[in-house]
Amino acid sequence: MASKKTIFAVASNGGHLIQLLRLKPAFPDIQTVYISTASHAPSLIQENRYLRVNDCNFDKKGQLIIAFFQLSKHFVKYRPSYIITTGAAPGLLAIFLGRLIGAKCIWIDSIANSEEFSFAGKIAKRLTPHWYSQWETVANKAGAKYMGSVL
Amino acid sequence: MIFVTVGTQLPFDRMIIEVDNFAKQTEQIIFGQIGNGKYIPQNFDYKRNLNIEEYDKVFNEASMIISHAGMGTIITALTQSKPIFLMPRKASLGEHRNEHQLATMRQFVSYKGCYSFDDSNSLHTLVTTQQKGKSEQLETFAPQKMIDNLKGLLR
Repeated sequence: MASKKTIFAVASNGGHLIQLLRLKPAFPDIQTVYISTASHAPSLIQENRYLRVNDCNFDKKGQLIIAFFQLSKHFVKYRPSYIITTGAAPGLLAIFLGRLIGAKCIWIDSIANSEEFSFAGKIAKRLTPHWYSQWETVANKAGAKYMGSVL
Repeated sequence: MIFVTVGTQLPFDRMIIEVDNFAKQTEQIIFGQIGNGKYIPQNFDYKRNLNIEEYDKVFNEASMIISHAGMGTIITALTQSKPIFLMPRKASLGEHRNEHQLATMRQFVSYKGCYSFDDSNSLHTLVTTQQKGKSEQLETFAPQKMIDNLKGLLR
């Protein structure tokens, strides 16, 4: 990997974040900034490699807009070259912003979606070609890619 | 101590009511994270939400976990070898956006130490038989193949 290209690893708090952290060995420490909705960095992540955005989901438009502007600020500051997310709403916003600045955006749908893509995942399909399910059957059905799962 | 959790997003009164009934029948100490549900437990201590540090602490101290069928809680329980009792949220009852928790439950009941329950009686039976039991242990990180594939993409 070319040096010093920033990776944004993004997920909402809870199950999405726990899945993202299981992928941590794939992310070089010095390049990666973790972004989530939890008030503090999770124990595996240094506080200075962690950015918080407003908790948001698709039922609350106002919260989404606040998170979008917070994320935009982080994008302007860090100019990430890679976006990787396990969902949900904050990940989708990050993929949208990543696409605008020409970053390579990777969507990995939550392993909880074992029968079809999540709501956010279906939208992500339109934003990036790096569109993955953690289930081979779901990937085949939806025309997505598969590279394994966090379990 | 048994830790009960509804997860970070939505309340789950149907489960909390069953756990409250179970709490009446057991000597076990129970602590709950109940979200913004309307039902207030009468028979165990609770907080509506926990920050990451509080959550990690109570999870570490717990010997068993009772939870909605949320992926985060299940993965955390299994990485710590803790038996977990699941009640899936049903979209048909307005408890989630779709029925994915039923699928998650079906997928995980084949793991050692992972069980589903529908009411306080079935929960009581499971807890009684599982005391001092351990669940299957998951590794902290994803399988190496997945990590390698992802590294390849970040190049």
